[in-house]
Amino acid sequence: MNHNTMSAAEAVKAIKKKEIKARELVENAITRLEYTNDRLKSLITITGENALQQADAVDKKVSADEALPPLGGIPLVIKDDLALEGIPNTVGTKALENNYSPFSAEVVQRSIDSGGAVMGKANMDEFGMGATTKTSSYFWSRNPLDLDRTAGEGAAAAVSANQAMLAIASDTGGGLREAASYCGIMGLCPTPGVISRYGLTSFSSSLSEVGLLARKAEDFLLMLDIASGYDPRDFATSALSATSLKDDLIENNIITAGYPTEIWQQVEAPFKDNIENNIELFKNCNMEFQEVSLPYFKAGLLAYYILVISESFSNLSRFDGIRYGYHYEGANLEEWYQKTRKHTFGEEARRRSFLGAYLLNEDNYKKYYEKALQVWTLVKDDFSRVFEKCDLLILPVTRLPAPLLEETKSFTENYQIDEFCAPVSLAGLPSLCLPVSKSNDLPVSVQLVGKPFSEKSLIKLSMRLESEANVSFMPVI
Amino acid sequence: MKINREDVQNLLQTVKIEGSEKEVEKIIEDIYSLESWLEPLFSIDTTEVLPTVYKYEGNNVQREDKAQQRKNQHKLWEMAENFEEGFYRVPPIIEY
Repeated sequence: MNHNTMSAAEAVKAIKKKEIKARELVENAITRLEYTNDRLKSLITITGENALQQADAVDKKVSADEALPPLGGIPLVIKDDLALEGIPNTVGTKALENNYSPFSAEVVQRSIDSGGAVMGKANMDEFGMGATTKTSSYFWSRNPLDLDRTAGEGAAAAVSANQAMLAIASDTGGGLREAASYCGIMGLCPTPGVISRYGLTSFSSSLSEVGLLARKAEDFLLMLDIASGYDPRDFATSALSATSLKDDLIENNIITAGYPTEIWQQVEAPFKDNIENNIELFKNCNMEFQEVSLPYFKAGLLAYYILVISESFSNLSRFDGIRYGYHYEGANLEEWYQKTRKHTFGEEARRRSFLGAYLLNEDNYKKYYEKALQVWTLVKDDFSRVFEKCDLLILPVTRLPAPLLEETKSFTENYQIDEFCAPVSLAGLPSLCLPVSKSNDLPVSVQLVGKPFSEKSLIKLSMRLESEANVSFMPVI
Repeated sequence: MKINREDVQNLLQTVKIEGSEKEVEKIIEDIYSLESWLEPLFSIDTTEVLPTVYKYEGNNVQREDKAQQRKNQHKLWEMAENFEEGFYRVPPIIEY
């Protein structure tokens, strides 16, 4: 039985049937970590010992013929902006280097209570600001499929390189989905309110959500059952539990997928051709493409950045090194603040602080912030119109494959990476990205965007597409 | 809009980040780059368009107005380097 190719759902079944032990799974993940983490730099903190203890507890239950918890012994990683009690929660920044969390995020606690074995905390861009890990205060995460390229997120590298079977990670404007597409795995960013954000350190309170990464689509079903549902500590969570999320779409004889040509035309040739040459794949899954138009989609990215830069300025104001986090001494409080924030924030965090303060000042607030709020309405209306005649939308995830790590881009060129994901985040819709083919051995992924709370439909359709596409990727190490 | 060094010094004061002369120049450059990148937004007519202020669908469900003791409050206090008798100790704010 190959631990590296099975899904988490298959592994849980195998543990239940006593075909494998949870300890074997975790030991396999630890071996992969020991062998690959020096090169990949996917995890900032490794908690392998805790994972082994969790696996042993699961094996003990199985030996005693007790009920197996739903995530019994599955190795998973957590992005370093989701709190895990007793472990540093760095959020990718030096400002929080020694920030040992006194509690666990709701979604993390639910996973542990369900038997999940946490392997560690994954590298990320500082405060989540970026899509390459190049703004991380710690290191850059390499892509397991091409070591010269970025993984996008340490969590995606970990799942792709078999250091874990699943990952829990945040997504604000596409980080999780883009990383999944770079690393040849799947990423689910659910409808806002499906997964609690309690314990998530976000740079944008309005737009950051908690999502999931997996190698197989069926594992999202397993994780959603555990992760979704009302949490009194996050007022935005929905009372809908995983069992009431919609999965009716898959019953349709024909699934109408909106295909916005104007957006697909922006994708570079090898990627676009790959999708167009794979039309049969979608037809075989009962999908019928319908031409649609989203005239404000492009402006959505600009509005998104005005909103998140403004919120960054506001959200980062709490990091002053007094109540928690790293600090630099100052002769007075003002000097303490200024030195602490200058020396602990990286370039992008400092930039967003300045730019956010600029966008929100008295002279600019109406021009930029209010304009962005109005464009947000137009973007949401665009999607609502499309969903009157379509069951879902099919969109690109990125214009190009994972960027080369040595490639240098201006900050606005980096913002442009989110062009196909950020407008979907603005619209508050669930999206699932999955690889459907290859271009020069690198994954070509698409993004399925559904109506609110249609996660289960997207997952079940992805299971169908996954089986039909039959595309897999082997890490190079 | 023309940005001058004084504007940037005010920004630095607002965000409480120390900045050198060289950094002031860089901030001015970044502001112009951002403004130029955002320019296409202003060709969109948003007259009469209501702003979106909340992305979640549905009604806000509020919990009962009941005082609760935070279980981990002491652990949170312990994270501070200097916490005494219910207060965070900070460097002087007022100079005598």
